[in-house]
This record gives sequence, C-alpha cells and structure tokens, in this order.
Amino acid sequence: MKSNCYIIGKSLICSLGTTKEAIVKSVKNLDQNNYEPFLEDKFKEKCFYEIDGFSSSSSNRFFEILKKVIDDALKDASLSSKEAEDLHIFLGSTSMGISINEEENKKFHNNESKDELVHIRYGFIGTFVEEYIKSKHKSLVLATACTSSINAFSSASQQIKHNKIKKAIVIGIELFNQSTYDGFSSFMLLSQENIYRPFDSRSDGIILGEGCSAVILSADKNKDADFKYLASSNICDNYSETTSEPTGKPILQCLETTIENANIQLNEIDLIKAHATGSENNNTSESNALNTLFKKYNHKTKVTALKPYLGHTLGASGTNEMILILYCIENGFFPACLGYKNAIEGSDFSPLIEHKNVASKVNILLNHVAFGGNNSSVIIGNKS
Amino acid sequence: MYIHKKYLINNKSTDIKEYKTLLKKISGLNLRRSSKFNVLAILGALNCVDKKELSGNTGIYVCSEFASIVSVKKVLDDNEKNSMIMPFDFLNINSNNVSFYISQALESNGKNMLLTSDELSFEKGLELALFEMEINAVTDIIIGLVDESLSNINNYSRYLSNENKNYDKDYSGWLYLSQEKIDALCKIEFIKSFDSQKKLDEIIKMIDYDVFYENCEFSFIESIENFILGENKKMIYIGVDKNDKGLVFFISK
Repeated sequence: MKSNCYIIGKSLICSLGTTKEAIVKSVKNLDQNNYEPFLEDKFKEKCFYEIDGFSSSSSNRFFEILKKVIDDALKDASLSSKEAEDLHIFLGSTSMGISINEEENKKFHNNESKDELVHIRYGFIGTFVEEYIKSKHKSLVLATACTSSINAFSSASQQIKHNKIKKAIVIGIELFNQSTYDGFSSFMLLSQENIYRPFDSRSDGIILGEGCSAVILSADKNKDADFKYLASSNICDNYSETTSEPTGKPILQCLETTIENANIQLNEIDLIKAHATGSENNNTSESNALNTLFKKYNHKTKVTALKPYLGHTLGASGTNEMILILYCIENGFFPACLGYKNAIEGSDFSPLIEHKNVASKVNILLNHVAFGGNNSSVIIGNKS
Repeated sequence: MYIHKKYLINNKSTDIKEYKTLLKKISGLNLRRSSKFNVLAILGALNCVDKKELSGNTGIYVCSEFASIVSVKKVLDDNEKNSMIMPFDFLNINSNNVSFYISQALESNGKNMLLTSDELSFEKGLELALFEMEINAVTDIIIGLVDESLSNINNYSRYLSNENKNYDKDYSGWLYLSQEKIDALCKIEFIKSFDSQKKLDEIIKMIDYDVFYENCEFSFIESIENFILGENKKMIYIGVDKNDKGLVFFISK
C-alpha cells in the first residue's frame, strides 16, 4: 500500500533575499525591461549571484546560512524541535564545504593556521545537520552534480511514498568557492556578456550563483494547498562527463518516463521548469528534448527557467528552484524566463516572456541535467 | 536481495600507474588525467562485474568517506601558487564523475550516484540501493566503497574523530546484487537501523545468528568475504558511528 508524500515546509536563501517575502517581491518586480539594469547592479563586483548579509568568514557564513535555512523550514512546517528529531536527512551538493577548506588552506599557506584543511570527510555537512536537529537518523548525502538536491528530494519522497519513512528534511547547499568558479571558467562555460539568457539566440553561457534551501516532506499534509510528490525519473546519458547528447534523446527519455510514472498526460502539466543553464550545449539538447516532447504529444506546455533569478546554483539548484517556483505559485504567478527574446536555431517553442497569472492548484514538472550525464525530472502537484 | 559477486582491492598506497596498467587490460576507457580515486573505482567495479550480464537498468552506487579529498587538496595547493585550475583537475574534484565513468565503461543507462554518510557511507548506500531495487527503480545493483589512501594528506588523523582507524590503504570493495536466487553467494534478509546502544542491543536480541562483524574491525565486504569462506550460515553485520547510530544487516546463506 503506497502512501502520499507532501511538501509541508520550505525555505530558501539566495541572492534575491533570505525570506519568502523578499524573494517574491524581487521576482515580481523583475521584467524583461529592468532585467539588464538589475544584473548590472548585482554584478558590480563580480559576475556571480551572491547572497548578502552573513559573516565574511567562509566557515561561519556556511553554517549560519545552513542553520537559518533549517530553522526557517522547520518553522514553515510547524515542527517542534522534538518533532524534528524524527526527520530523516537527505542532502544534495556538488562542492560540499570546499569553501571552508579553501579558507583554511589559504591561512595555512599564510602561516596563520597549522591545519591545511578543516574537513576531510565528504559527508561532514550531513553529520552537522544530524547534530543540529538532533535527528535519530543517519544522514545520506548525494553527489550527482547539478541534480544532487533534486535526486535527494526524489529519494526521500519515494521512501515516504513506499512507507519506508514518515518524514524527511531535504537540503540543497551550494556556496561560493573559488575552485568551482575557476573550474567552470577553465571550461569556458561562463557568460562573457554577464547577461543570463537561457534558450535565447544571444545566450553566451552560464552565470554561477549560490543558494541554500530545505524542504520538509511528510506522509501527512499540513495545508490543503500543500504540493504532493507525483513521480520522478533518473537516467544516465553516457555521451560525455560535461555535455549532454546534443539530440536531447536522454533528456526526452527522462521527461517521458517521469510523465508516465506520474500516470498523467502532458496536457495535465501546467508548467515545465527547465534546467536551462544557458550553455550552448544545454540550450541545444534541452530545447531539442522539449521540441520533440511537444510535437510527439501535440501539446505545448508552458516553459520557464529560473537561473536568471538565482544564477546556476549547481547541486542546490534542484531544491532552490523548486522552492522559488512554489513561492511564485503561492503568490499567483508563474515567473517569466528573463533574458529571452528570440529562439535558438531549430527551436519552435518559446518560454514565458512575462509573468503569467495562475490558479493556485497546478501540476509542475521540474527538469534537471547534470555533469556526469545525470538527468532527473520530478513532477509535483496540488490538484485534487 | 542476493549477493552474487564481490571484489576487493585493499592495498597499501600504490602508484596510480599500476592501477591504470591493470585497468588497460580490461577496459578501453581513456583515463590519462583521471585521479586515483576514479581509477580505483572503475577497476574495482569492472572486476566485480567481470563477465556477468547486466540487466540494462543497473543502479550504480559509489560510496565514499573521503571522495576526491586528495585531488581537492592538490587543487587548493595549486591555487596558492596562483596556478589556474586545469579542466581535468576540475573534473577530478567533481567526485560524482566517478559513477559516470563506471556507467560509461559498463554501457549502462540506469541511475548512478555518489553517496556518503560519515563512517557509514557503504551501509547507507546499500540501504538506499536495496530500497530502489525493492521498488523496481533499478533491476540489479553494483555498489562499492572507494577511498584512496590518505597518506598524501599530512597527519590526516587530526581531521578525524575516530582516530583508531587507518586510512593509509587504497580501498575499492564492490558487490553485485540482484533479486535472482540461483547461484547467489548469500542473501541480505533485512536491515534495521538504530540510534543508541540500547536499541542496538534490542535488535540483536531478536536475531538468531551464528557470527557477527562490526565496522570498527571489518568493512562490509571483508565481512561478506569471511562469512562466505566460513562454515556459519547466519551472520549479522553492525555498522555504527561515533554517535551510536547505525545499521544492522542480517545475512544468510
């Protein structure tokens, strides 16, 4: 007998703000006209979607942000600290806490510390969360590049759906670190014009960002409007460790399998939140997958992309973007794909160019694609 | 859930060239710039699978306590010399690429992931993998614990809470599991989790077993090797962390 899995609490800290109200206000106020001045202002110091307002020390900042996200999510779910002890912990990240090791290593080389590193265990963030919420359960940390936190979400949801666990907290975290920034730069994947334009013919690359988010999942809903996990799929595209097969076939396979697993039709999905990194390869492969999907099922679903608001937050993008879209839906709109004007060659769909008013009950598909050929899609909805 | 194959590399720290030479004999993968962590993992996984025909929906789970920390340290030290990070170094610190390389080598399109959980990475990974096979998200499983020697990190034990353990060795231990009973080495009957010594004692009292192994002495795969070679029919394996949280596996043959 299968159960249900509901999102009963959520929180997000990103470059748009540290509260739901501030984040929604920023998104609502943005449109195609004020987008470029907004970016110009944001990227005065460096071309990166940075979180403001925390300690300057990488280590302090890391744990301040993580703790606030957890506290806010627990509060949103109305869970007491005692109830939090029953939460299973699933965490997704690409760079884990490399920024903390970077800081310590720098001090070591400047003779300010005797330690070259701080943490050498890959799962130390999981243990920190276990101890912080006093969870009775051992954490599980997933590293699948940009699909890390969406895979963590799927794993937790499936375990609740199949009655293996009752409640879980899913965390995505990705904070600025020089190694990742320089690594993406070494692949020449970063935008040179400093304007994020996924799916647009002028798109010239990725702009990285940082963010941390947490989702509380439960077999029981708290509110009537709580979103329910419907289905997911994860497949491997063996084409290359850094790029997707350009035809988009593996992405299409992942999308179709998810829709099939959810036992719904494409026309019952109100919005597809694309991965949309803005890289040349992703623009082509994901567009091809979506074009084929829409042709095959003779239905064009609305599409949007959220990286123009948050930057590409890599392993945390799964839960970060899920929460951002849920915030927008709670406020009655689907956010536009900022920076989009003209389709890339061969694409015959257009993402939303302006915010679109929506009913409060919808089904949405979240698509993610990662280094290492890791493709993941999830469908959530709150229609009865 | 049946264990069909096992393979273990548990060497003193060995030069990557030796592992690459061994890998060349069984795979055409180009891993010229790849880290020892990646090479160890692929070598272990391919040797474990050997000639076994996979389902086409095989879940590949790479578990690790330290993942690419040796490569991370190299990149951090290079940064201090103001050297630009090179693309292959960046790929090496993206630990999750390890499961992609295995997937590519095995021509598998099923899910693959890198998992970790302090002191219990393999145990938690196996718990997830078995659940995913139970719900048919994957048809069969290749799962391994991989960690290259930490001997390149000066005085590494200062960063660890359980300093009794020695992480000087290169380790790559693998299992192949499926739901097929025929020709299995042994069967994982069930898994129970606990969050205190008291709960662990209660679980153990309920199980009728001949022999037990603990992660403070043996890894899961070493325990399976010992069990298969011995006369005992029922074993339990206890994986426990510094906070007395862990998992008990009951295994029979």
